[in-house]
Amino acid sequence: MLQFWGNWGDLIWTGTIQTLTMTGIALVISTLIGLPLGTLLVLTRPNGRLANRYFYGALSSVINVVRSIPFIILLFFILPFTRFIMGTTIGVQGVLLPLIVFTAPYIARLMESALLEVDRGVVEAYEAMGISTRKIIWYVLIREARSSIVLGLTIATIGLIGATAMAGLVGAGGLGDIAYQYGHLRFEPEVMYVTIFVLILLVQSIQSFGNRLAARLKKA
Amino acid sequence: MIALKQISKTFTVNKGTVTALDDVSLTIEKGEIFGIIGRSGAGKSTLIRMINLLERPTSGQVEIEGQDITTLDKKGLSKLRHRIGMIFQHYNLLKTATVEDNVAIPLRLEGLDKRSISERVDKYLDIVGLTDHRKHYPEQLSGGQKQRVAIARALAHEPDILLSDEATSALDPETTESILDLLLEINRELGLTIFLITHEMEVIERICDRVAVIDAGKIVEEGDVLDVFSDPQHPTTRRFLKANLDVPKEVVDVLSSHGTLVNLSFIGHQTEQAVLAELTKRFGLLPNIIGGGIKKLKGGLVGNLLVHLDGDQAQTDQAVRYLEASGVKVKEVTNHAAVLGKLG
Repeated sequence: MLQFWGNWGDLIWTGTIQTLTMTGIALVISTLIGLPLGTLLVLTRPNGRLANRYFYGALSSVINVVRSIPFIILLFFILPFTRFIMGTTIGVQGVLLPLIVFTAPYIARLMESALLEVDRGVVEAYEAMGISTRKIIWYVLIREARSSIVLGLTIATIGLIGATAMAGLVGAGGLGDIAYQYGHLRFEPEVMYVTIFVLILLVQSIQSFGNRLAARLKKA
Repeated sequence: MIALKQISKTFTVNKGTVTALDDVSLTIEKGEIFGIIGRSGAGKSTLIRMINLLERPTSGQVEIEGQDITTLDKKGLSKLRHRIGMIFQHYNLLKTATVEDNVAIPLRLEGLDKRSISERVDKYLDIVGLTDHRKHYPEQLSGGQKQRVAIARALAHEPDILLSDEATSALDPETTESILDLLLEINRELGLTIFLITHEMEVIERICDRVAVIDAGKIVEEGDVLDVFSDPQHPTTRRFLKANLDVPKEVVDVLSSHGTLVNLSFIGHQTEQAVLAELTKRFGLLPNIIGGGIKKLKGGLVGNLLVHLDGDQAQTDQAVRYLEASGVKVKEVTNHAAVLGKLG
């Protein structure tokens, strides 16, 4: 046991940090893009407050198209775009953009369904009180949906962790890469078991944390 | 105070058009409680939303204190809406906010300063009797309590007008009564003009000064509650009023074959007079009471009696003349439908 940690401890620790870094940064940026997109979907959908068939149709199609592409293909498909924006296609920097392109539309859909759960009557009540659409979005729609938003983001985070496993293909490291490189290619099954165990631990704690936070936000 | 002028509203549904309101004109006076009654789908909801322009009329004007509000810009409309409170059938509270926050948040969004907000929250939670529940969340409250929070929220803007969209329709009879009492109190003490829509006769009876009956997007009858209820003209109004008494057709047929079947309507103090006993004493006529009822309206009492006058034509004529002279409205009943219509 001690010997195992002596041999592999550093590597697994570094991999965990890499995975968390990629997930964290991609999650924050994807949320900053996905939440407004989800809000736009809700506002512009038929019967929405700013109903616009063309805008909604276009946005919705783009989201569907991006979401149709599996991450591993997206990663290579947008290589030129990644180089153009990030200046590189390798390492953590090189994988962040594809992760964001992959996750933001997903989050947009999750946010859309969370916001749609909000009772239209409350929105109407605030409209009747003469409160602006901008304030209604923030203080009514997003506030009332916050518990579902947190649950949606929890799902998105776990999806992101899965996607980062493929980041190794462009040399960004991470737990998935370790499991593949060492566990599979070099046939060190213990390394694979341990990385899988760490991944399970991560996913479990994120889900529990998300559930607990959502339950608290539901009321207070 | 509020004047709706030739309001029409059509919706486009699946390439067809549906007329929700058809040339509706109404005037609501300052300080009164005005009720609209109609079945679901009659256009009530659309009508009440014209007053704060949650729905815009296809044609016609909405005037508040002489100003046509359909021409207001965004800012003007927002300002106007601060002066018009609204409560709803399903309360429409923030589930994620406490009772006090439900009252305070809209005030904060309106830009009121902290001190005024906390003063108003205290004041209006006290008026609706929820001071002890201020830290509770809506899901911990009963339906009646939630409606009280909604009323406090509406009042906290210190509006001149309160719109009530079926506010008691989801409540049990006892709670309905207490909410109606609260609305009456608000109307009296704060001088608020209340415009309400409902499908419940009881709401109109208990608190309204005037009523309009809406059917298929048209106002079919309008007037003081007392007048409309003691002498309803339109079939829809009669249908709303029929609930209390239902006389089988057979009874009407048998009684109409000898003597005369009449419906008597009494208003106010007349309900206390013994006019029927006088008929026997003066004209030797034997009145036989088939059924009847008495109702307490906001403006006074209204009684209805279905009476069979067993006597010859001369006696009957004399009796009717005497009754009318005493201020009782008399209508001869010859068929079943009319009976249903007249009694209530």
